[in-house]
Amino acid sequence: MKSFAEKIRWCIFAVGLAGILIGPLFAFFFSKYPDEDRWYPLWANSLFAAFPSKARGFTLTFYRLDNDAFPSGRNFYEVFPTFEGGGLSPSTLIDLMGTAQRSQNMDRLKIARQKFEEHFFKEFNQVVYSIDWVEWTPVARYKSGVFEKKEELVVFQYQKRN
Amino acid sequence: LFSNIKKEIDQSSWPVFLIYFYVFAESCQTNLNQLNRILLMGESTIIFPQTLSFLGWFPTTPVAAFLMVCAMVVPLATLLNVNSRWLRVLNFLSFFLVKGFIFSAGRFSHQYWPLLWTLFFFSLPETWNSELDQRWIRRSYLAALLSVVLFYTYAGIWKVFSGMLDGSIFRSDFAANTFSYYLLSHGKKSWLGDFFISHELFSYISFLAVILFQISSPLIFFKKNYFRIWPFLILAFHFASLLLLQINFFAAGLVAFTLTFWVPQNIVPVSMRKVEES
Repeated sequence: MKSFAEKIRWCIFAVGLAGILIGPLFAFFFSKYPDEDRWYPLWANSLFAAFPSKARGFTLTFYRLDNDAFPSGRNFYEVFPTFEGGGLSPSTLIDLMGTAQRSQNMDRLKIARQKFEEHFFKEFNQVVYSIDWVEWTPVARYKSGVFEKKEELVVFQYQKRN
Repeated sequence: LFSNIKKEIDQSSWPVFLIYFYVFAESCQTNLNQLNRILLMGESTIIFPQTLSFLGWFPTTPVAAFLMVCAMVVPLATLLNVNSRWLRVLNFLSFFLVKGFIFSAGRFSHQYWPLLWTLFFFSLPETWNSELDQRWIRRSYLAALLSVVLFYTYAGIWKVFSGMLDGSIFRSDFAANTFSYYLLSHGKKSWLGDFFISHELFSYISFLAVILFQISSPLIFFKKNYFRIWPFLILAFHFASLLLLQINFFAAGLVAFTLTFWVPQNIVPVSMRKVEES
């Protein structure tokens, strides 16, 4: 028969071990970026991408209105879109940055930007009826072989089908 | 002093002593810096943030300085007597709270998680004298080891999973894009990083090897020879990530190395022991 102190010690041990085993699973299911207001887990993006018609209803939640940042109004922006079916994919962005980094000059960056916009239109038109404009706003400064700052991604305005 | 310490620790608690030595050294380095900020630069807000400024009567500077001094004294006391359970519990709480304060909002650098888990499990046995509380020493040590190893395993699993979400892991520029994205977004530059970014296939194969190494870490519990080379592999991994991406995670790497390199012989299973019992 274990003593009371021994039982307490077993409980602490079990809670610690269970936390280490289950904690990452918990983080996996409920992980999200601080500036995102989605309620579903990150891996559900791939599920939504597989069913674009189901995903359409979620599209609006990804882009939040910020009139202070963009005084012209009715402009939506997203810092890091992660939605595969509707917005830009992170891989596209990473491709762009990787290409610009490896190319080591601004001309290649322009080409990468062009490709980026083409890809953006191609993917985004699957969900949204029309796009008014897309603006790519690079804020990175190119100096001595590296970019000093991260780039602001994209500002766009669109109309929804309904 | 040193003869006293030597008397306290025996063969089984040598890695425990080393772990608490790291905690003491780390606390001194960090908390002296914070103490400097509190006393000389008047930044007691690292402990008591601006949102609590309605506590105007509260003497924030002396209290913050006192907490910082306590956070250095407790690890020193634990180092001198690792067999005291209450000192170990106090050390765990002190480390946890001070790190949470300094990095604000209870969120601290990832490299301290293995050390925190290790301190948690190391505070469970009544004593680290292997003859007195042998079963709990064994359980606690193996739980700490398991948690540190799973730290790397989960990291590898997450790399694979995040790569499979958009299918980028199946492309040869996966690693180069990942490295360039990290270096760009953090404003870093390294010679090795440039090399890896320009040689896609080489970096891809290396990255896959690293992922394989991370995911296969639990094999050290089953393969005796892998258990012997794993601590050196983990040091090499951290050194490579320092050179390549300038990520300094040696607080985690030192814990992993210490727990696996100086593993007490009475803790590991018989099949893993260096000298078989006759």
